[in-house]
Amino acid sequence: MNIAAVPGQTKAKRILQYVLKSGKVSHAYLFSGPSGTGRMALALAFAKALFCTAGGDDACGECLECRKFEHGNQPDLHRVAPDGASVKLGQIQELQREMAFRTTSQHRKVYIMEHAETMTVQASNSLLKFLEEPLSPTVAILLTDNPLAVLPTIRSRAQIIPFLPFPPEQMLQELVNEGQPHLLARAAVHLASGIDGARQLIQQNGFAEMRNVVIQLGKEGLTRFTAAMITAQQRLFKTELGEQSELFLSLLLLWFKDMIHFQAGRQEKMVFIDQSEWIGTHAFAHSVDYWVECMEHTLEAGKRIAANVAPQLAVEQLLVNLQEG
Amino acid sequence: MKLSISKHELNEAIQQVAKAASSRPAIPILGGIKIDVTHQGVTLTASDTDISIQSFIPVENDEHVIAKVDKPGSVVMPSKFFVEMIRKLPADTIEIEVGDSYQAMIRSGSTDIQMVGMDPEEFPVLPAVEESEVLQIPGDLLKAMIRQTVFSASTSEQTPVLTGVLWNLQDGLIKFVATDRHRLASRTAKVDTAPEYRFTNVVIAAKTLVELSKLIPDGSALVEVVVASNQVLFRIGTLLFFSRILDGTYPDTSKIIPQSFKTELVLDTRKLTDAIDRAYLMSREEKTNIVRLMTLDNSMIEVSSSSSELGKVTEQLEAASLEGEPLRIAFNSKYMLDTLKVIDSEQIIISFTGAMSPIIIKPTDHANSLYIILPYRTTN
Repeated sequence: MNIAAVPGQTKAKRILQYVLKSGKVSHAYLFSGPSGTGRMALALAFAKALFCTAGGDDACGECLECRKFEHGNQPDLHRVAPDGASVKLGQIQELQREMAFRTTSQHRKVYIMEHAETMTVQASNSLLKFLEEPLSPTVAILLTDNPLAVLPTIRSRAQIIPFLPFPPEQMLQELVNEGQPHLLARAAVHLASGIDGARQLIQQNGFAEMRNVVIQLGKEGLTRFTAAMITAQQRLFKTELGEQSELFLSLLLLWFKDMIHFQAGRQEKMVFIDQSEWIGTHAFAHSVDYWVECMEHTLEAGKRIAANVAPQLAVEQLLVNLQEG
Repeated sequence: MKLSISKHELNEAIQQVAKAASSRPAIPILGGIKIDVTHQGVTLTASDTDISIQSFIPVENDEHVIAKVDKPGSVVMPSKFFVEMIRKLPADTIEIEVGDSYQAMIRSGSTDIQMVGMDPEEFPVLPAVEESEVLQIPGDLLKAMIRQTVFSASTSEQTPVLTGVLWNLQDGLIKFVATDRHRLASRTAKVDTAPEYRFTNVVIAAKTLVELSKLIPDGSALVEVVVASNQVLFRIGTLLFFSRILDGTYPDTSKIIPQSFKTELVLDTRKLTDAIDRAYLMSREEKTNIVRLMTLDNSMIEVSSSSSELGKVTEQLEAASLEGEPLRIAFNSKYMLDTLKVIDSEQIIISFTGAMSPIIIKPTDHANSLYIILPYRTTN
């Protein structure tokens, strides 16, 4: 994939293409932004362009170096990913060993590190020394979704390339063009920060079923408390969906948000667009403040689960709160 | 590409080059053996990026036809499968034909094998050899020089350049230096090369040199060495061995070698080795490897080590000569043993400038080797 082919991230792409065109390549870049925003895709596209012999602001895709890159045969590209929960000192030392030889050709050596924020202190210090004194022309591309967790001395030595979450509309269009189910895509783009995450969510086992459960509980939770309790028991906690309480609450939040969208006449922004008729007859039954309160109760349930309250207990408490208004 | 070739010759060459092919390659192409076929012969290459081995099979040898080339060409074959398959083929002759998209057909007797190859263009490029700048070293000398230096190279990746052996060539004199900052080994030899040919700061990984040493046959047959910008080539008969050069500047070690000494000993190499070996057994238990050496009267020295758990070893040795001030020094017995084991001379000179200064060890019969060990600071 070339830089131009990476979806979105206009600003990041513009910076990198200027770097390539001007030849002012920094020795370290920090690709910073939420996961799923195309950081790895752009890191690989940038690395490919750095190896490309055609010059210009993007990889040509046709020269020998580009072909080698596409087939995974570029010996001067190295990748580091966390070993378990963190990037360890041994991995940095192995990277240093690999980078210790004179380059096999005229171009730079490039290494890409995923989840740079997970580096141990020893690994960070070892990398810092390496960043300060690379033996030969080297480009480091560090990827992180939490730049503040990266050692400040590393951060200050790298050029930060910001990655912004994709606008949901843009992601939705792309997913629909790919042939993903429209209703599921509509929900997924509001729950994932990137197109890859949204795609994974759609393909996740039980996502469509969870959406149906949320619709049923969303309706029953407001009007039929007992039915809602039974549905939560039967369709949520007695099935595999019970392990995905976070997803359930996120979708429920979107359900209440749709009520506000409908009241404000922003039907095109609705997620549960197939439920427009039902929402249309119930959205005005309460004020916007009421729907905001429902959203607050939902967020509160999420906090409780995060604080180790049993998910079933937290959801049942939520249904009680919704009933009480 | 199309050829028929003697199974014996092909198998022998494959076995040689396969030593460089990686079993767990970092990149797919390195899991293969590159085959280049011309009307002159067949070249096989394998690499793990650190080292590459190349073998050439001529079309004919002493009137004896080895290969018949119908169509020149190149392909990269998956190493693991290809090596095994060639070894197990039934007939004495093997036909290899490579079509579009690197589909290979291998025939031998009644066996037909189809194998998917890879694009040879993507195989790492080995440097072109400048025949004018060649240095020749007898195989046994090169093996000795490697053996007498590699042990001092660092095993820590913290400073990658120190994991290698420094090669310098000037005025027909080649010098190997290895150090891990605690000890140093240096070996010099006169070599056959153009007097104006020189290079500095060529650092080759110690691990690579150990592998190279295994490929050099015993005897004084010449090994040709060519230094390119990023690799060094060794020609051993029909075999080419390429090693990547470590990046970075090797530290200047000349400054740490003292020029004058306060105490000098001449000792029997074998006797000192045995004495330190016995002391090492005790020091090893303490995990410190500390052995002490003390000069006594009448050209005697004492080697000792102790363990809080086990006790003490003390041994007295007679020096062939002892000059200068009395001395008491402690050092790492393992480092000393490593050094003594690679010295081929019957006697050695050990020179000291004080209890906390480097220990210099040299053979008595030539000035081509020099070893340094830094002493330990001890309280008693």
